[in-house]
Amino acid sequence: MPEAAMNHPRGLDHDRFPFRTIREQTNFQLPASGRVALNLIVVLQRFHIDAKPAFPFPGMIDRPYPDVGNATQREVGLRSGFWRICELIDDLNIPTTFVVERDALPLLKGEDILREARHEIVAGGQHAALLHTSAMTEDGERRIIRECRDALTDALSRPVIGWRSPSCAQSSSTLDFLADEGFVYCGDFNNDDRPYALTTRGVNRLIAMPMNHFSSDLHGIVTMKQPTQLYYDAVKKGTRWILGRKNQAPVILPLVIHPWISGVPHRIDHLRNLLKEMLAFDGLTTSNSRELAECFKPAV
Amino acid sequence: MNWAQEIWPPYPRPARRTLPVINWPNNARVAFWVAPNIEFYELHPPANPVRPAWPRPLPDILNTSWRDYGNRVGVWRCLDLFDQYDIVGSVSLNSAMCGHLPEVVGAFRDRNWELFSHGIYNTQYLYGLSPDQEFEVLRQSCEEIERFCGKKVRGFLSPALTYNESTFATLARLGLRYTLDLFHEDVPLPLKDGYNGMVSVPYQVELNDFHALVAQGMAGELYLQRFKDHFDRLYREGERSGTVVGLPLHPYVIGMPQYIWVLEGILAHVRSHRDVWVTSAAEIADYYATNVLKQAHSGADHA
Repeated sequence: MPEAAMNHPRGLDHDRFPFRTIREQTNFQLPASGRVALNLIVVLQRFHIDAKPAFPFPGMIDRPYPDVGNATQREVGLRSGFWRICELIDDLNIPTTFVVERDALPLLKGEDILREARHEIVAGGQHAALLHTSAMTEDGERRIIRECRDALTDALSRPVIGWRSPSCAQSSSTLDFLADEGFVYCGDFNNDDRPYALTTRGVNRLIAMPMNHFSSDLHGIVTMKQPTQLYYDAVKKGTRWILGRKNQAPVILPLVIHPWISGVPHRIDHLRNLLKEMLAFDGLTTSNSRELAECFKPAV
Repeated sequence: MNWAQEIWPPYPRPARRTLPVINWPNNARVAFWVAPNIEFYELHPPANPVRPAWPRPLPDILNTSWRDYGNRVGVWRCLDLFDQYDIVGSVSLNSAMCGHLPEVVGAFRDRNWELFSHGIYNTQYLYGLSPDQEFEVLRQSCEEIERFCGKKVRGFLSPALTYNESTFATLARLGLRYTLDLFHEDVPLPLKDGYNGMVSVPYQVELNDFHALVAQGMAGELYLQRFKDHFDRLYREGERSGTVVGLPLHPYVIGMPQYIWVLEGILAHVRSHRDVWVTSAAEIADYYATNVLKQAHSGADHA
């Protein structure tokens, strides 16, 4: 039986962040008076053929072991799919956020684009199927977080301050551990188009950055099975719609793509056309997630 | 026992085209009503014996945070469009929203939207409740909404479309006037005797944004076309006898950037037709009970 009505407490049913609507003022301004900031987020995943996830997740390798077909098709995202995306990023000069899983690093040696200062590197966990859950031990989860950050920092010779969990899955303590390890922002929450402060151990020590899975190519094209052209058209129309509402607060438009999906030959030119058209929109700026996190000044 | 009769209680199936003729106000062909589902999803819901609330181990932040998007962002975009197109309909409301997030519910109350019961939480299902427990849950839901808006709750849609064999009897026992859980027809239907004169108001499941865009995975463009095809057909049928287009929405779906423009396309399409009655579920139920059923019973024309 539910609790008695009228006793429902005000606010959300957790203390990680308070409720806030898109209509409320917040200390977030886009550079150059932009009204929509496109954050192109490229997720570089490593799918181990023998990895068993704690629960099913979108894009997983799901056929009986050894699922050679799916495993190699996912690896397109670290090879030709990735290269096509990189070419596009260079051609259109888009500051990009790369979410990099630790175990993808050995396949990304010599990819200097990941060292360029105009792009941002976000720690993506250890590998695609290593999902964070509350069944993990504290030491085990802390070690994954720390080792991912250290491996990226060492390999790419740059600080890493952002985190996005494989499949946005967290344990009850992930946020606390991220803050303990010195991370500045986390992209696991799908509930806002603006940054907000996350509370860990009673104080605001992390920023939630929009990296919405439910507007990604993984959700739209793979899980929902939408035709490529229609999915990208919908993103374009939505961006234009938001830009057309002059009274709206500035927002981030996170476009989360996975090179094994958007980087294949029959999709890459659709993505190129989408981005080219969007870059011409009045009021649209492009920024990576570090720059956007710096545009937000949370109350202490 | 004939469960179909007991659980689904609309008036016995009529012969083709013997339903009473509906003449909506001002000779409208279509009664159009919008039903945003304003829902609260718990991060740590209680277990249900029939269906888990979340597909992942708790805390399922991927899915919970998506629902929260609706209340933080999506609903405000929807409200902008409802204002622009002068739409006032009926809110399908998890009553706990009145306590947790009153600013969201208040935005609809202040615009004179009808608030009807959609249970207490969308993460607490009716499955497995005894008839008395079910009565108590729905009574509390209605009471919380009435306390918030000062008006009697008239109708009900089951949270997450979860039911028991007792559910419709419970609605009658609560004195509710209409149900939205029966998907038989594109016109209102009376419930059979013993259900307190309740009527069924169409809440068309295939127009539901969640059903079309998530369960079926349709692209926005195709969903918009589905709506137009559905509406245009019922607009034509409405020349003979009035029809209903009920549009179920979930701001965490339709309010995302890649779909919000679809809602504008839908509302613009509706407003480009002259003979449309933009209204609420309660108005449809009242009008049907008062002007259609009573006249039919008193011997008015049948089509």
